Amino acid sequence: MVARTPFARVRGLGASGTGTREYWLIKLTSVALLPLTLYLAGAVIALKNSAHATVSAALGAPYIAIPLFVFVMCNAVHMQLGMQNIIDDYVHTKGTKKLAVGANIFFTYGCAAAALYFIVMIGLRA
Amino acid sequence: MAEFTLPKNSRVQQGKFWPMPKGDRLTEFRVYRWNPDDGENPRIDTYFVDREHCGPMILDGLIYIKNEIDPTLTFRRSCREGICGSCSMNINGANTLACTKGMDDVGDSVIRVYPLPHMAVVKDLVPDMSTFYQQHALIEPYLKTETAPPQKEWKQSPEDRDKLDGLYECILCACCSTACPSYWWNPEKYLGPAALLQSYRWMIDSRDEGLAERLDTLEDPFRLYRCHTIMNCANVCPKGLNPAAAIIEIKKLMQEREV
Repeated sequence: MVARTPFARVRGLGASGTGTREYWLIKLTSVALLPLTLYLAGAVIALKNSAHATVSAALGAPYIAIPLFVFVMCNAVHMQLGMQNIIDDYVHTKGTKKLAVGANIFFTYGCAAAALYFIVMIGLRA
Repeated sequence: MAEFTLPKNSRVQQGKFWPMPKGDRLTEFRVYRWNPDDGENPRIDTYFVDREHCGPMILDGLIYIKNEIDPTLTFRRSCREGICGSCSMNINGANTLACTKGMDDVGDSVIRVYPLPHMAVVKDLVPDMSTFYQQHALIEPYLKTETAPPQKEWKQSPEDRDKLDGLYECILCACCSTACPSYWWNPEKYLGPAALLQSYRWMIDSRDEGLAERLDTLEDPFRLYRCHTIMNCANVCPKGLNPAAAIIEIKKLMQEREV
């Protein structure tokens, strides 16, 4: 056990020099996701009961495909940073924390990569 | 992981029921007791305070208990008028100063007194404040200048002086920091609302030249960005200050620099 003074414990390893960019990004993506979610939810409602070909064609059209692309990207960044915040708050064991941070990055960007792949595939086949 | 349950040796047990004094106006106090020397778990002792022979504040009640019933009860107090910040404790679920909280203002006939939450307890109602004080030291709470000092004094316009209102009044009682869940989960890495409020107090002081360094000190996901604007700090501050608002202002300065 290493007994350190309270000041040494508070100073720790020093300020990491990060945080603001991430904080700004999480706010920015949350603002961007508001209209994107409403727009895409509207599109889904409008396509309700449509034929497979109609939905595929709509998903391939730029007015749906581009917002959907941005939506997936924003969601991935927002989800990753949001989960990172939860991990920072509650996970304090060194090994578990590294594992959780890594799993979070793989999961969020993995989901985004899969979603983008299918958007492109649907768009190309439309 | 964050701990959501108390360890075995911290679980609070039923304590002693102290004899009632004679009198018509009695108020029941249930007080957290823990002695590091006896190896026992913490306990809640019940006392009855005779209001005819006691002042109206919670601190008066505690002093009455110490003087008249149980001299072993340990707590900090000094000015008894909300200036020194010594008697901060958790009263009926909210952190506040025992000296400025009236017995009739807690909204309950029973007064429950605990030490400030999530702090190591030294004895009874006395928490270990060393980490809290060092967090205050880390933000360098003093005027930092590079320019040679003027012959008489550093001048400040009344408008610039007004900007310090709502910030300089902090008495470092730790009610805000120990009410903050983010501070509970990261008590060493997150600086807490009190230290951040003081940091902002020096950041916007027109005479201070250390703004860039002060921002550098806080540019960290833990030191500053654990604040999720929960607002417990503003709710409990016995001086009516709003540390959460000051933290938002620091974040704005950070963004101004970054984006």
